[in-house]
Parts: sequence; C-alpha cells; structure tokens
Amino acid sequence: MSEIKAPAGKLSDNERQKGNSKYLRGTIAEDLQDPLTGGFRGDNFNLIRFHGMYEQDDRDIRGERVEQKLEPLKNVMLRCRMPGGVITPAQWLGIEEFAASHTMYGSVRITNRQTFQYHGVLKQNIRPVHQWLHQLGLDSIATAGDVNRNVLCTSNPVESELHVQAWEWAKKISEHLLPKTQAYAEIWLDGEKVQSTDTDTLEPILGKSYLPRKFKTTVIIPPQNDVDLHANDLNFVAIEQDGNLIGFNVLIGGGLSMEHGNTATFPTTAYEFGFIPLEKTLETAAAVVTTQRDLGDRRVPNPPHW
Amino acid sequence: MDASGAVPAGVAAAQATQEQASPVLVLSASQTGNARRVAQSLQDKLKAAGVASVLKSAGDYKSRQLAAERLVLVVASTQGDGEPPEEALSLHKALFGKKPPEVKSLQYAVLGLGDSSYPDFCQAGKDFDSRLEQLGAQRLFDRVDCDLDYQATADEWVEKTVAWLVEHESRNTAANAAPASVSALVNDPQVHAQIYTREKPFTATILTNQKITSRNSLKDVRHLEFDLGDSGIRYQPGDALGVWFRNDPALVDSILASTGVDGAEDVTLADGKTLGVRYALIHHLEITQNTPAFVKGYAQLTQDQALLDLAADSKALQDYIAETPIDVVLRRVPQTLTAQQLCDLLRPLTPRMYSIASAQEEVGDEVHITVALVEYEQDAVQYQGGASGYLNRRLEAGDEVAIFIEPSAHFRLPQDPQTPIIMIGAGTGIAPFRAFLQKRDAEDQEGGNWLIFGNQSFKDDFLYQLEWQQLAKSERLSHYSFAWSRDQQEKIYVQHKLLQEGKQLWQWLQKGAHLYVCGDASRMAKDVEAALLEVIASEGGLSVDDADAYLDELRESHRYQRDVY
Repeated sequence: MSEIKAPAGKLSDNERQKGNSKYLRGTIAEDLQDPLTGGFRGDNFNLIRFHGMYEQDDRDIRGERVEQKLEPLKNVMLRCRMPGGVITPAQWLGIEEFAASHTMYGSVRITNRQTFQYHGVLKQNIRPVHQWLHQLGLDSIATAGDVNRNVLCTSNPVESELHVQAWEWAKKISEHLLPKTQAYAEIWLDGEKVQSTDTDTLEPILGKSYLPRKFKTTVIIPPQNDVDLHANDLNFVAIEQDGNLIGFNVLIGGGLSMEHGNTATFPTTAYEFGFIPLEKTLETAAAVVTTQRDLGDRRVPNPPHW
Repeated sequence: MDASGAVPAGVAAAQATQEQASPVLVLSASQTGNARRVAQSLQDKLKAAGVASVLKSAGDYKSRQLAAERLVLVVASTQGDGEPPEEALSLHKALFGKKPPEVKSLQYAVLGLGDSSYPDFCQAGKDFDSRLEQLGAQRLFDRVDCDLDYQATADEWVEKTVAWLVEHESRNTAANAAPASVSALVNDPQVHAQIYTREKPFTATILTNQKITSRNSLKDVRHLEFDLGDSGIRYQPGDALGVWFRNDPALVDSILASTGVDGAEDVTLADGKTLGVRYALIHHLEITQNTPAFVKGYAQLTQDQALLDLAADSKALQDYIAETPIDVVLRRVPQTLTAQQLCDLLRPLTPRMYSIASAQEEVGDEVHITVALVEYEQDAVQYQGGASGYLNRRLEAGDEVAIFIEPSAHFRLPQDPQTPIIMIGAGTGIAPFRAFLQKRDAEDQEGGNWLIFGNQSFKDDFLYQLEWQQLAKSERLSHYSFAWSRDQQEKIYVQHKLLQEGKQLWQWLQKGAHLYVCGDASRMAKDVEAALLEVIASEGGLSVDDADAYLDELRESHRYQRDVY
C-alpha cells in the first residue's frame, strides 16, 4: 500500500497567512491602535477569525457612507465558545448586559451550533468584549477559522442521566483541541507576553499552519440525534453501561457546509469507525484532527471536507 | 479738527525734503480683511496726497519697533469676546505686558471696527487707544468706532485723517520716500489682487453639496464644491471664502406676519435703494442675528415694558439677544409696523466667511468649503443659521451663490516645503488642513504632516475620513491623532491628545515645525493654547513665564498660527 500524502501543489494564500501569523498574532495589536479605521488590515482581517470574530460592515449604508467620505461602518461579529451550549443564569445576564450597552444592535443572537453571537461590536469595544466574557468565564477562542470549532453536545440535560458525563467530555475535547498559542490572552486580555517560546512544537495538534479548513466536533447521547452525528467531521456517540458512560462509537468525515456551485465541496455524511473506551477519547480526537491537518488539501481555501 | 477738510488736489509736498522724518506707520490689525481694506485705502490716499507712509499688518510688525516710530495710525478690528484679531495678539500682549515699548514721543490715532451685537464692541480698538495714551503717547484725535456697516464711517475717518496729515506732515516728510516702504502686503505674492470682491462677488455654481457626517451624527456638516469657471479667481490654502447668503423665505414671511407688513410694499435701504420689503428681507437685511439696536428700537416702537427694561440693562440685553432670535422677539410681542419701520430696525446683511478646504494645485477651478449647520429651537420653532441653513438645506448642485475670496495674511503653509507642520483642529476646523495637504501632496512637498483632529464620534463625525486614509497610506500624512469626545465615558478633546503626545510634539517643535490651530475660538483654541504651554514647560523644562515667552516667539516668527472663530 502506497503512503498517503497531502495533495501536492501551490498552497493557498490562507496557508501563507496562517504560517506567517506568529501563532495567530499577526499585527492585530497594531491594528487595534490604528485610529484611522474601524477595521483590520491585510492578513489580520482573516486572523481575527481564529479569535472568534469576523469583520463585517453595515451593507445597507455602505454606498451612502462612501458618498459621505466615511469608510464603511466596520464592526465585528463575535461568536462565543460554549461547549454543549451550557451557561449559567449569571452568565446569561452578563451576556445580555454587554449586548444591550456595547453592540450596535443591542441583541444576542443564538446560533444553530449551541452558542451565541454578538453582532455590531465596534473596534473600541473589542478588547472590552473579550475581557467581559473572560470575567464571565467565557471566551471566543477558535470559534471561527481553520480550527476545531465549538463542540456540540446533545442539548437536553433532563432527557438523559448521561448528560453531565457526556458534556464533561465535550468540554475536555474542546479544551484539548484549542490552539495553545497565548495570542488570545496577549492581545485581548492584557496577558503576559510569553518570551519567545514559540517553536515548531508549540501547537502539537494543530501545527504552525493550523488546519486546512474548519473542523466540527459533536458528542451525541442516544436516542437523541439533535446535533446530527452524520453532519460533522468528528462525532462521539455516547455508550453507557449501568448508567455510566464507558466510551464512544466514533463517526468521522461528515460535513454540510458547501461553497455555492462547487461540487467538490458538496455535503458528505460521516462514516462509522467503531468503539473507543473513554480513556482513548482525547487521543482519538487528536489523531483525527492531525490526520486532517497533515493530509487535508491546502491548495485552496475551504477545501472539501476530506 | 475740521472733518470737512478735503484733500487739496496734488499737494505734492516735494518742497519738504530738508528733514527726513520717518514715514507715517499705518498699522492694520485685521481678522476678516475689513480692517486691512480700510488701512489699505488710507495708505493709498496718503500716497496720493504725498504723505510718506508705510502700511504694515500687525502680524508682520515687531512690537519693539514701536519705540522708533513717530506717528502711527491703527485700524483694528475686534473678534469674539472683545479680543484683538489673531495677527495683533503679539502686539496687544507686548503693549499690556511688563515691559511695554517706549512710546512717549509717539503720536497716534485709532479706528476701531466691530460688531455692536457683541458685548465688548470694538474692544481691541479701545484697548490700543487707551493703552497708548496710558503709556504716554499723544492722541491726535478721538478714536472712531465702526459697526458692521463700517464703510461710510471708515471712509469719513480716512478722509479726516488724510486731511489732517496733509496739513501737518507734508512740509516735513520726503514725499517720494514711499516706494521703499510700500507695504509687504501689497507685494506679498501670496495675497492676490482679487478680481471679484465682497462688493463685486462672483456668481458660482454649486457642483456638489454633500453631507459628510453619517446618518446617526448629531451634526449636519456639508462638503460644498463651487465651480469658479473661467473667473480667473485664485486663492491660497488658508484663505477664506466669503458667501453672500439669502435669508429663508419662510422666516421672512413669519416676520412679515408678526408685524402685519405687506411683502410687496416698498422700502428704502440705508444705501438709498428702493425695493420690495420681502425682497429686501431676503437679500439685504440681517434677520438671523439679533442685536441690541434691534431690541432697543423695537422696545421704543412697542413701548413693551419687559423689552424697555431689557433695553436699559446692557448685561441682561446681551444674554437676551444671545438666545432670542429676532423672529421670537416679534412673535412674543407682535406689533403692527410699517415696512420702513421694520427695515430700519435691521442691519444690512453681511457675508459669512468659511475657511477654504481645497487647494487649486489639486482642484483647479473649484473651491471647496466645509459647513456645519447651525440649528436650535426656541419657543417650539426650529431655527437655522442664516448662511449654513441656506447652504446646507436650501441649495443643491446646480444652484448659484455669490462668493468672493478673502485672502488670509497669516494662515499660511511654511515657505520651506521641508518644514514639518502640526495641524490642530476641531469640527469644521479641519477645512484648511485639507487644503494644506492637497497642496503639499500635489507639489510633493516633503515636510512631515501631523493632523490632530477632534469631533464627537469616530464612526459618525470623522470628516473626510477616506481622504485622510489615502494620505496616510501614501505617507503624506505622517502622523495623526484623533479625539472623539463622545466615544467613551469621559470627554476627550484635542488638547488631551496634545498632552498625551507631549514628547512627540516637543520633538517636532525642535525640528522647526509650524503649529496651526483652526476651529472654535472660545473654548477649543484656549484649551489648546493652555495644553501647548503645559507641554512646552514640561518637555522643555521651562518655567511658566519662559514657556509663555517661547510660544510668543513662535507666534511672532509665524510658527504658531491660528484661524479661530
């Protein structure tokens, strides 16, 4: 059997951006200081996605503002990381308070991947929003970009006694697959600048250039399949014995997201690979992710799922 | 003296060369150009009459030279709250300072220009007049103060003065010593003789009337472009554009209704013209700025006790006119008047001045200005500024406006293109800096450019944001700082940015940078000056007095220039 290799060819510009990003730092901190624009320049426009944000602008008034010699009304959408979509009442109040006082639309938007988004956060409010989330025990690390996204878990805790155990694993998987770079804390939370310990082993799982595309993980508690075990890259189906979680059946390779008109990116369903005991969970997750990392197609941005 | 004394034709005082007395100094202290025009006409008439004289603008005049003068004629305007015009600040300060110049042998006369709707009417003229006397100089004749319609009074003073000098001077001055002393102003290549003037404006077509604040802004600021066509009009960055505006017909009709005047009735204006009253109110009379004279006159006509009381209390009257438009006075105390009575209460309309926001090196035969709408509510009625309402709300592209250039003597880019400049402005005070940068960019001038701009909000009030971004990208704009007063809990203004970047500011000054300040005079310019003094003291390690002297030195060497209003 011949060795499997990543497709050869010229890498996409996304790969250059990630590789040159100094572990997701880019020059984001400088852009935050730039008083001429409400947006991010060059590579930073994409790099902020790894920190959970997309730069957007109010398209309805884009033309009007150009006439007014004003740049588009740039702002960011921020997506929170919330494994399994579980928050406390105190967190909810805090989330709502920030939305009301510091976003353009005053709203919290719930997503279909068990988290929420703030829309219309102006640049001056970006560091404050991260600090606000941080003091609520939340963050937006890796909720966008070419990384493992928010980990889903069957949502109804009343439905199954296994929920607490399974949800714990959703959180563990999320943590395990997070970027290890301190860029997030450094840029947004006044974190200590870590003295150049950046080496090629800083990101043992994600690697210096992170993943070729976004990556989605779920934890499913039968009989519910609300998070859809066939529609995500990596799916852990909870297996219990005497009311205790003992391991997972693993399904790999699904994905719904597609680029319009590009048949190579059409949705695909996940394949069942078999049972793993609990203690192999994180190892398995890392093995699947590193396989995607090493063998995925890096010649185009957002390549096919597998 | 005899005011009727006409200048004897051709009094060529050529016979008097035995004594080389120093020429008469005509000193103009002008803000908008009116005082300069009067001084210029005085100088022309003295020359024609054979009296040797030198015309200087106060900004070009070193105050210590005053000790060497023999006779000085001061034409001084007043701005804001009784302050001298920008160019005369140094002279004013020197005269009132600890070591005033020695003027005991000096003879002098003063003509003051002002606006009687302000409390300290002609204060700068009064200051020069009384201070020179205090310091021992000899007053030739009593000061004359002119109101906004200054022309006739000023002309009379000029005639009188020339006549007096012809009588007293012609025998002991060298008549044709003048050429060597013809004023720097006349030869100043930066001040062009204008074809179109305040009296004979050019009718320009509006090319663009574009709001440049966002839909969420609390301010309506417009960018206006005018087509100068083949008028041949030339201007320099730093000059102002005079705009003859028309009053709002709706406001005129409201005034006619309150006074029961038929708009078709004829009235005779101060200049002798007879016109329909409605037309006169729209085109020729000031109805958006209240004056003490109006309130006093109306109080007499109505015999309304509250108005009579106000008219007798000048402090209360000042406060009242500041917040009560003419229309509101009439609405509150309606009274039937004749058309002529109504018009006699009102002053002639005067043009409004706007700092030019463009450079011809960039825009060719166009001139641009930046206009903020003045808007306020009184007695549940919405009022707008006369000119800003006209420009921002009642005109659009294709409409015509009467305009003229008012050259600035002292708001000018450095001669040396290498000299760095620091531009400090708030609100529409950004206008001349757009002109500065257009010129420096078009001519590829290499001096550094630092913009310090303040307004309410980054996303709504960043005037010309896209242009500044382009200039920063090409590195023409080398440094920039912005103060958005309402984007955070505490108010941040341009002076806070100066303090914050004090070290950098001091370094730029050490490199010979010129400082420019444009915008609101009453608060911004004062706060900026205090911040500048603080930076100079702390970064330069200077005492308060030495920092003050340092800034004076900058002002006198034209490195600290202001266009404030």
